[in-house]
Amino acid sequence: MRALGTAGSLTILMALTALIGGCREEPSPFSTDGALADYEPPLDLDTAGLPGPVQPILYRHDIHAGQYEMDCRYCHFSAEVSFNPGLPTVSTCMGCHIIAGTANPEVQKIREYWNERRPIEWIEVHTMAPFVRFPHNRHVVSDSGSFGELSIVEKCEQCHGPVREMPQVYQYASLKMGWCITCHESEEVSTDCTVCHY
Amino acid sequence: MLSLLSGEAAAFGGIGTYVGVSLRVTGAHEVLAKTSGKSRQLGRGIAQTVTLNELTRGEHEEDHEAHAAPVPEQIEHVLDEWQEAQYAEFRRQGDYRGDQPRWAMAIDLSRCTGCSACVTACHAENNIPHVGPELVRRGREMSWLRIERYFEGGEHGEPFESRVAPMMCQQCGNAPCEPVCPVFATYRTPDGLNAQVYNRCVGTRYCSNNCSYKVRYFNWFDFQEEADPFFAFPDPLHWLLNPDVTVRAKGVMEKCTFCVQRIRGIQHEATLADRELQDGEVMTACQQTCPSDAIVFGDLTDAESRVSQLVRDERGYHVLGDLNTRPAVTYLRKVRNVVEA
Amino acid sequence: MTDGSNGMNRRRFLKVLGVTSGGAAAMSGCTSDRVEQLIPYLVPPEGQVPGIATWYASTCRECPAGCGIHVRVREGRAVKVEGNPGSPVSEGRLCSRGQAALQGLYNPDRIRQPMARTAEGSFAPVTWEDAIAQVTDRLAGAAGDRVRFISGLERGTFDRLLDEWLSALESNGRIAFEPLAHEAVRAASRMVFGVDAIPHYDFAAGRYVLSFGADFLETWGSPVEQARSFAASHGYRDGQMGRYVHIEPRMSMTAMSADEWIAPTPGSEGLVVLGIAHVIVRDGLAPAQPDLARVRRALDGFAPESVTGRTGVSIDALERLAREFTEQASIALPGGVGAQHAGAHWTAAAAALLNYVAGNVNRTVRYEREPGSVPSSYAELGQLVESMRNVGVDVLFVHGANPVHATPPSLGFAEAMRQVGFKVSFARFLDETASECDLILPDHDPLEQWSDYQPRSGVHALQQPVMQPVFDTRQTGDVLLDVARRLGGQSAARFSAGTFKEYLEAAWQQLQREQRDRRPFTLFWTEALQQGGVWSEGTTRSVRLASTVEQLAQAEPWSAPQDDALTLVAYPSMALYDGRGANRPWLQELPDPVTKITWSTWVELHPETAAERGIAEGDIVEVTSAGAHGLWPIC
Repeated sequence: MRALGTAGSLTILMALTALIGGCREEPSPFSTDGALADYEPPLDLDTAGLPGPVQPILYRHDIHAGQYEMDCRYCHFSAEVSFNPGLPTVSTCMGCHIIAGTANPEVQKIREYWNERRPIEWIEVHTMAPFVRFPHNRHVVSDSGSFGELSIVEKCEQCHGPVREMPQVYQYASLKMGWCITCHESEEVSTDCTVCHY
Repeated sequence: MLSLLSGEAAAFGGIGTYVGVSLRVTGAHEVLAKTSGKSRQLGRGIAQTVTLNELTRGEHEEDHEAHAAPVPEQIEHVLDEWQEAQYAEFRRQGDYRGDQPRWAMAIDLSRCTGCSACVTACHAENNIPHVGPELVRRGREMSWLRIERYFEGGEHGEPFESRVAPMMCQQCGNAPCEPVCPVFATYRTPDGLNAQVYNRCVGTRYCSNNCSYKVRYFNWFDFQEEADPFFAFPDPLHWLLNPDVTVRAKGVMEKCTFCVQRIRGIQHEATLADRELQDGEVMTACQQTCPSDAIVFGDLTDAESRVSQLVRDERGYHVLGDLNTRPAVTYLRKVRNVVEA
Repeated sequence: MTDGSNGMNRRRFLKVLGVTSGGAAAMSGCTSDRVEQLIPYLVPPEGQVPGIATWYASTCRECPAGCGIHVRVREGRAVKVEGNPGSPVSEGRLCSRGQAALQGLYNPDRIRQPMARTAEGSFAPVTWEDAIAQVTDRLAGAAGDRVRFISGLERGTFDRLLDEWLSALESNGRIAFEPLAHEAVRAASRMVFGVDAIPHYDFAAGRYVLSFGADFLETWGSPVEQARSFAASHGYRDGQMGRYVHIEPRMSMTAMSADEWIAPTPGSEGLVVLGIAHVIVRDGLAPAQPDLARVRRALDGFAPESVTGRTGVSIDALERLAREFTEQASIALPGGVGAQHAGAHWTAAAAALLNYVAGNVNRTVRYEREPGSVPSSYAELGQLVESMRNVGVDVLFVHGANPVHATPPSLGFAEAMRQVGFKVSFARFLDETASECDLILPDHDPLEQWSDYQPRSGVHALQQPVMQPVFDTRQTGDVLLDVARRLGGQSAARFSAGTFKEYLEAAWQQLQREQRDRRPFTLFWTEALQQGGVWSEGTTRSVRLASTVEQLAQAEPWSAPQDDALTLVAYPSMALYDGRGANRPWLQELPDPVTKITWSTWVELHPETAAERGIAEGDIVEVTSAGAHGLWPIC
């Protein structure tokens, strides 16, 4: 149950390559299944008209996850193993963007963050009420009910919506309890209060 | 107090901690920030003992007069059936179909010393705020787990005796708190917990009024809000908050949960690894820290689990059991190895 | 930790790290229109997955017991301390003080950066560079015993570093000050067996415990280990259990667990012990031990008939206790700090002799080779006060001790300190002693630092940082090495280690050689870090009676002054210890196990005495001893 670490591991490595935590198989950033063959990410965007909060950097989920078909878990690296799906560290971005897309002004913003050793302060889109425990891992690896037939990306999209088509991410589901319960009931999984509230 | 002692080293090189003093009554008075109610049990039989000789002779019952109202035998099995029917009903819901654990705890009073490590561990695990002396004086402490201390004898030349008993939510099978909640914020889970759903609670405090054990605690203040007069987590003290446990807001009732976050956490782990829970795998915070191993937690449906074995012990009793609350906490009588006159 | 958290509001930072698992944020309603931020790490911390706890093995330093601990770390923050099941001291258990270690780490009152006294007399922040330069400047002009160092009780590599560092300055002026040093027990060991040691008591083997005021479940010795083994022998199982008799005027929490409590005349406990030992020898209740003639000479004058009057314990009781004590493996315990009256060494020596005559030495009571330096006695601290007062000290360092608070004001520690030219404190809090200093170089919290600790022979426990430091503090070992390097000459030449961690590793390489472990050091080290240390059997030394045991024949009880005087017994608090736990809210709010009082200091009075004097609970009384007085409420 207890993975005993040593304090040596507190040393933070200034590695430029994207490091992925946990001891599991690393997903390839470019997967081939679940591709959206007919989705073309728009190149010219009216960002003001897009739904969802304006982020410090216009990170294009539609380009990364849609056009390039990157696996969600490349950046949200702990979704399968933890309650917390994980956020990409700036070093993960820099793993590619040290060479890729350097002319893009949004990419240049990342490089500024990196050079100034500042983390990026993203606006949270899918906010759970603080009295709710939502185990991402249980949902992502779930094989109960109709979930068993879905790919990982499709499971993510059950709650997060068509992220592969979102230039700017917006809240797709209400995340209110009735919405949770509806799914738990149709999938015939527990609806006991202390499954989520404690 | 040190100021009263002599600064001179004693013959052995240390400070002498005994000193002759005189007392003067000042006439001033202060209400002590004390958490005990009565020092005497008044026949309630909360912390029970038995002498070693009585036990080896097979006498286990301690008589306690005031509440000696045993449930009639013919009704006992009706109540048992009723309770099983309740669990069967719970089990029909959701993925609770089929076998569920029945969580229970055994506390061996012959091991408990009253050291209170469990109390602090509970604060640490469950994000319980400290409330300060003013609220303690008003009886508004938040400690989910307390050590009850009672004195016996000591009068008319009787030997003086002290007893302790850890007291937390007894997770009653027939809980007085549940039927009085108008919003179903407290209810029975299929695995034998008396749950408290914070986001449902509207703060009527009926449950607390109806609780036989006084183990429910009400958030009279927003202890986690900086603007609150009883703000308990000044920066960076809030770093110690357990991320697995909700920090409760003003107007919400709270109480011991049998560390449900640990139960659910390990159930998640076991499900993901596709394995069964092992006896002893789920440890409550109080059990884990107890230096004398007085607290044992586990599943009653497993007849071989440590807790099942202890619950069957001849010394076992339920506090205020004659109220038919059917607690999930079984106490084992303290045994006194006394010399009989 | 994000390494970019500088300047970020910590409260917000916490919310961010708690995201999706959501926990530590307040429950503030069901709306979803709040704006929360998500702030990722700049680079991923190695081995940590958000939402999954990492556990680090370390050692609790809240009291001298040295329990092995596991610290639960989530998103780079320590959130819970548990006992380390592998540690022979804690075996997975912990006391309240250990649980509250987190409130030391995250205490808002911690000194957040180095501070120097200004011309106006207050403290102002300085840089580490400036602070260390001030120390080296002052040390350049001082040497020998004019440089003094008060440390806490250190038993490990830091202890050695202090001695080496001082000897490089040609100073022999180290005081290892532990307020609960149990000098009386050491004095007794010297008197009875000629060894300077506190014995190890095996509570699991001792089925009969006779305690003369030892609060062994609270502050005395190693409370967690003792509670565990006491429960093993005294807890009821299958028709059997041990028996425990407590003899002390005061009802302590430990005494509450006793099967029988005997309250003798205050100060006369030693005579009770000698009376019991007398009966054992007189009646031949235990096999005769060597040097019986010496024992007889020591015990001759303590027949129950002569003891009973002065102690208030009946002859029958003394004879019964003597029989019970010799019927099975037993332990007699000398008193703790709460029983440390001016004659406490007599009680302790009598208890040591009682163990001897009952054949308990090397059965339930062992004298081990104590690791590290012996803690200094209170008397030695008094000598330092004398020399400070006579302007014999130029530079004073204080680390891990708060003597201004922990000594009676009449010792005059604070006044004497003012005669010292330059005082440096390594305190983590602005305590009474730090407030008297000129420079404060705040140390890391024990949970932030590298160190080791040897609670007893054979137990080498490691401390490792479980998280990044909360504030701009520095480990004192590193500071001392830095100072030595800057002083140059002999001091610099003495140390090859650049950091205290390197110094520690060198010490553990030595330990590995001593243990005849031939693996590569990194294997040994990593394994030790994961286990929390290395454990082996302690070395017991054989003891025999010293001739000085005959001094016991002159044992005198402590007697209270006459008139209507009462005896005040000052005892350490189970939760707050000698006061070092007083800034932990959990410990303040923890009800005292006997009185159930929180958040204050009180005076306990026997109900009959209170009734005679018309005093009720909560009445505030003035307590006066020779030269001092104070006000406290009555419990």
